[in-house]
Amino acid sequence: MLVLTRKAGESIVIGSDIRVTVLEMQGRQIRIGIEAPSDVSVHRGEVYERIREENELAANADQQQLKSLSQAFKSR
Amino acid sequence: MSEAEVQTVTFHNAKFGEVTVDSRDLLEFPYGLPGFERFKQYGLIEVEEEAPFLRLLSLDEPRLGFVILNPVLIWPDYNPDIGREDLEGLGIEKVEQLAIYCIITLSDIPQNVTANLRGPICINTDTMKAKQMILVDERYQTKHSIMGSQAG
Repeated sequence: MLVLTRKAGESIVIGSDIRVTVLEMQGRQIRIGIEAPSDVSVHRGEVYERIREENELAANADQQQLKSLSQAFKSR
Repeated sequence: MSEAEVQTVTFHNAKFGEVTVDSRDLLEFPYGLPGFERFKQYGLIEVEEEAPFLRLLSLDEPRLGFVILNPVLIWPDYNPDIGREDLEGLGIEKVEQLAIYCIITLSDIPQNVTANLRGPICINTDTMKAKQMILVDERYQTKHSIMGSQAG
């Protein structure tokens, strides 16, 4: 991992079209601004991880479980 | 396109066996799905005895297949806040082009089946390009019980 030290107002440029700027620091929190092309996805790390974990749990869908669910759903 | 020109694609899935899908029901996820970024082509398959759920099966990886659902059938008020840039990235300009599904996490026990409302799958129904959105919207989580919710 590349580690850089930055002050408020300073930025980091990634490639030719992504800029990450440290906006302000307040206690234990840091506000960060990100400028990136619209086809680059930017997410909070922990939310992205939750989605990825749930996808992995769901990714091996089973036909029998699906049929049972459909029956249970229709008769609820 | 006339009926005679409708083409189908047949592929194999480990859990569903041989599957044939209308080429108009092929989806492209240009970025894949989180955790499965390499796999971009999926077939959307609707079978009567599995309704209202649909299969979303990878054409690239036989062991990769999801079950999805139109969340409005269970949560009529589902109205996720999806970023304009995300919709523009899919080429969606009007709401008629947008279809939204959520991924279902199955279980042997129907009461344990959940829907992921935090990561809805958005489809441009004109181009069949799709993307799983990662919502900032705190109202929705990755696990919402299906059978425990009120009937839609």
